[in-house]
Amino acid sequence: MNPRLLRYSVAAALTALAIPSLFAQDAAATIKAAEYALGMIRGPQRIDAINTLEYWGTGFTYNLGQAYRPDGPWPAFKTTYHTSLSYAVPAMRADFTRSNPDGPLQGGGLPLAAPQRQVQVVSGMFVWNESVPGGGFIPGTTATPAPAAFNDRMLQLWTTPFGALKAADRAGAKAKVATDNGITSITFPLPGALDGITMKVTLNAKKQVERVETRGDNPVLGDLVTETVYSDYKDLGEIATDVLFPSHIVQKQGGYPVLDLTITKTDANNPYAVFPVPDNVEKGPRSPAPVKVESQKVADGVWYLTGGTHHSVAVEFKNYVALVECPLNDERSLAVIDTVKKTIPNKPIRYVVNTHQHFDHSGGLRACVAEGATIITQADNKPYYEKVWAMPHTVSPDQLAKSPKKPVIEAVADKRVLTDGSRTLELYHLAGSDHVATMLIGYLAKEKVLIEADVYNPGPANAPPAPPTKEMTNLYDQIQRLKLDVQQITPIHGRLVTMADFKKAVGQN
Amino acid sequence: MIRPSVLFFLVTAALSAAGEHPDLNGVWNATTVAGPHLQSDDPLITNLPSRDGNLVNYERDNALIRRADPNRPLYKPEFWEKVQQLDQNGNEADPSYGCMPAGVPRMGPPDKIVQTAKEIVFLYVSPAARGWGDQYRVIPTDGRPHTPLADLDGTWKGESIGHWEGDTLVIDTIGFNDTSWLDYGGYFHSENMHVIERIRREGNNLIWQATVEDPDVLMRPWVMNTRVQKLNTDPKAALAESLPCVERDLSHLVTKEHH
Repeated sequence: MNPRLLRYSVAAALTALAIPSLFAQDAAATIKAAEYALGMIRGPQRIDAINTLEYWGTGFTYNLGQAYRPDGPWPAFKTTYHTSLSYAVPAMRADFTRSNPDGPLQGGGLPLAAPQRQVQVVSGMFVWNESVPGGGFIPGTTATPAPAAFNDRMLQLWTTPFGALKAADRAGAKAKVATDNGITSITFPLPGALDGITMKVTLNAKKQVERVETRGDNPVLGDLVTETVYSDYKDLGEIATDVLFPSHIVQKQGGYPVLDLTITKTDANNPYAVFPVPDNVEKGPRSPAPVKVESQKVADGVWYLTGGTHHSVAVEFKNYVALVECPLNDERSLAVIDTVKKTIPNKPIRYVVNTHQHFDHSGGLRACVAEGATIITQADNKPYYEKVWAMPHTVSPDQLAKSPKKPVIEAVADKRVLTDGSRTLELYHLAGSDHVATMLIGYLAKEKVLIEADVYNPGPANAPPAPPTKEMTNLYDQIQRLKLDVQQITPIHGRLVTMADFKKAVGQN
Repeated sequence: MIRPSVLFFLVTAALSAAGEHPDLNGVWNATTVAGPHLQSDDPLITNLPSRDGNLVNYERDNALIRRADPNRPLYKPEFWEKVQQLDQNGNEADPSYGCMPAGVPRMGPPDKIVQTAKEIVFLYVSPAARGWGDQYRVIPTDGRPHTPLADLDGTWKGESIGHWEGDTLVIDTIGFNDTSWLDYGGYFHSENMHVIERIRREGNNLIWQATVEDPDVLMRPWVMNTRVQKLNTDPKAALAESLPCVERDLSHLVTKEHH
């Protein structure tokens, strides 16, 4: 190439690369313009006049990580939604009622026996659930601390269009504006307890917040992008205020919607969005309870590992241990692994059986991979795990991210037997479940112990009997079909029960 | 900043004028009020200090900014919906829009104080937000106790008894009706409301604070925003007569927009 032409070409290329920075704008001015576009900036003083907000809507909420099939959409619930926010406190009360969708009733959480109301609150550093709005202050109502939900709820607050712009404003010089192909975006770190999370706000041609993205951590999906898209801005107030709010909100996580709402009404600066903190919440735990694992021997060589919401079962073979379920996350799994090593010393955990792919049951598998165990799971889960476990875990690196190891996954189509001649663990694909398509159950033939997850969750011994669910009936039918001689059941949720207990619960006594 | 010597002089002068207590006598209406200031030769729209110079925006913005005040009485949860309903329907529900008096504590600090050894008289000129009509309060400071609550007919202003705590005039009021509001926003109260006002003088400023106790409806006492009135030093300062109030707007309102 002609040297002069080469110089021009290089210069042209560099100029092209520099174009986005040429369009870089003053962040404060961009944020102000966006705030003005939404009607936040008011009066001759031109102040941000939005302190509180309420909005009402209808649509769908979805259970992240509870898909019926691996890689499928999250199960949907019809939802009515009422949210009150205070950006000044900051605080939020999300009061929503979920019911069954009109479509298929498959996936975790479905079906609901009756409409389910949840009132979730965060206020300052406190997080709790109310039985009704103001629960804990009205006789006969309750407020239950929920410190583990702090980040999620606070993030929802700052993800709203006004919240995102306020957070951008507060980021000051750390907020960076870029314009690329005519699309303006503002990127900034979130402050305080959400430190470490970066938010990206994209504006539409009218300078309204069109998209908010954050990157968090999920034990299964790794660096989890939460993408919220806002559209069709209107003044939805019963009393006109010129405050514009999106009439449609779609939030996605893991590529599928977790929220799809049509907003029907808003009230900006409703003076009565208040969030008093109940005494028991104020004096209650500020952080989630420490992980606890309790070991209970249920038969020779079989231990039921409880102490939290999700249990595991350790089975001792001559030269190794097979562990059924590494649930929740690294923290739980590492504690379970530690307990297994103390309970059954000097034997490696060679196999970890995963009952199904729901995130609360698979979130600890990566720690077990790091431990060197082979993961045994239903065949349809294998390609899914291979895909998601290859995704980056940079936001909060887990054990496997710190010590990378190629996962060894063994797929079970219908049946797999682990045996060393003296002890046998049979694994079966549980057919007929609407909870999940890829469920495995375990059966210890000699010990007559059944291991199952989610389809039968026995409550406390003194709890009033509840009508049997379709899942319980299906489990009973499958036990009969497979001719399993069960005497004890070690559920992943609940408590150790006998087959007689189960028969009674399922109406077969 | 006022130099200590000047402050000493002001306090001493005030004390000597009213005996042992600070002298609160005077017309306290010299506060500069921000708002539209139209000139006869200016087109209305262009000079209104409002968003985009628009009259509708002026009202809309002011209502929104006023509602942004984070200092709110904390009602018991069973009344949250009532407060919201009253607020939403404030144009009809707010008694101050219906030519009613504001009542204590909404009427706030007085425009004029006449102070004697045994009683203090508060005089009010009433812009709309503080109710209507020229109002007065006669507040004994002779050490008498309250009339038993059961013997009081609930009124807009209640029964006020004053006493001095150092340089602060403390006014204790009970015996209200349940018709008045504490402020915009649907802030209703019960007949068992108890209001404590604290008034002190700092130079030519009158500092007014009020605390509302109403355990029937509030979760905790509400400390209202402090208000400051400035002394009108014009020796001829006087109170203008309030305009008579005849409600004639309500039937013409077609929206619930706040004003």
